[in-house]
Amino acid sequence: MNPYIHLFSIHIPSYGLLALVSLMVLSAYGIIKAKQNDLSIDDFLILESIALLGALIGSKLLFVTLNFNKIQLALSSNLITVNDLLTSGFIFYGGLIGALLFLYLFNKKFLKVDLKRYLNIVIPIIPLCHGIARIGCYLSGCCYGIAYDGIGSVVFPENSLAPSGIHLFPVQLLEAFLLFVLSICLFIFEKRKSNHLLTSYLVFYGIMRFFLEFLRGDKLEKVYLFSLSESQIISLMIILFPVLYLLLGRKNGKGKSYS
Amino acid sequence: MAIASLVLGILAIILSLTGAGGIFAVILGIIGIILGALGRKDPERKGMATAGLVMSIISVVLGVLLFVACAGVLGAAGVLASSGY
Repeated sequence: MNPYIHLFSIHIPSYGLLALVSLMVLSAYGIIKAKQNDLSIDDFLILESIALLGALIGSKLLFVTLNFNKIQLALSSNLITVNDLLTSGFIFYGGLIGALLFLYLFNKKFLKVDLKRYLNIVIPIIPLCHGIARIGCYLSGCCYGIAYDGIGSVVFPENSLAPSGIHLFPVQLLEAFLLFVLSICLFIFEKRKSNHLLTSYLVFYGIMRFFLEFLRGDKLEKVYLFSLSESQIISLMIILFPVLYLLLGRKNGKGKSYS
Repeated sequence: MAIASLVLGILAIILSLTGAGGIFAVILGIIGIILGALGRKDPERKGMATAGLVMSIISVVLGVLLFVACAGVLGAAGVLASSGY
């Protein structure tokens, strides 16, 4: 647990390092798979960059929209700076929605490639990359768990973003572990030539995230509605939307795949 | 597109190294990668587009590595919690 890694006189944020590792794993895997599946590497890079841009904008936009009053107060009280706000504060679901939206719109307007093929080659690796980034959360102390002094509890140091000196539940590590398991499941689905990779990913991650939110202690970062956090509400929508779509598609006899 | 990618890539590297705007370096770098990859489809400018692509990738790597600090920002302002907000 160390928010910064010191290399000579450079302070590298642990989260940034792990985020970079996950990005490199995603890119390397995607390039190899694109080559194996006779897809254009340049098109893959374009789509990956568009998704990254959409993820950056979406995650920041959702964070600022949901926490507008808190951010205003923190800025006016000099608790955070504009630079803090630019380099930190990303909501995963905002990123996911932004990435999918940007991919769909950019591809429809400019690139016009078979987006489903490109998405399907990288979906199994996405939870793995997300899990690596979650380890970065653990190192920097953000997205921390509830107070808990049982087996496996962790105490964060003084310079961490999590409250120091208190035994906390290691929710970041649990989420990382579950994401690795989800990644293995998606690789198995891919081997079995499943047509519902994106649906499976969204539904399983949604269920996982819904329950993990109960173990999150960073209540200040969240907005609550009917005792549910914004991530739990989005999780419910993400679980219900593909399920309803599949059920309605089956009822209408279309047999269409959401993925 | 190849020239734009090269210019954006160089600009993004300078931005990320000076620390003036890491997150802007990442955004410029991403746009540079898109333009570079699109530019590589033109055989006449493939070399320049590849150079732009490489520069842009380096800038994104530097930007993410040095400036993406954490997923949460308000946690850093934990004093807010004790102020009863």
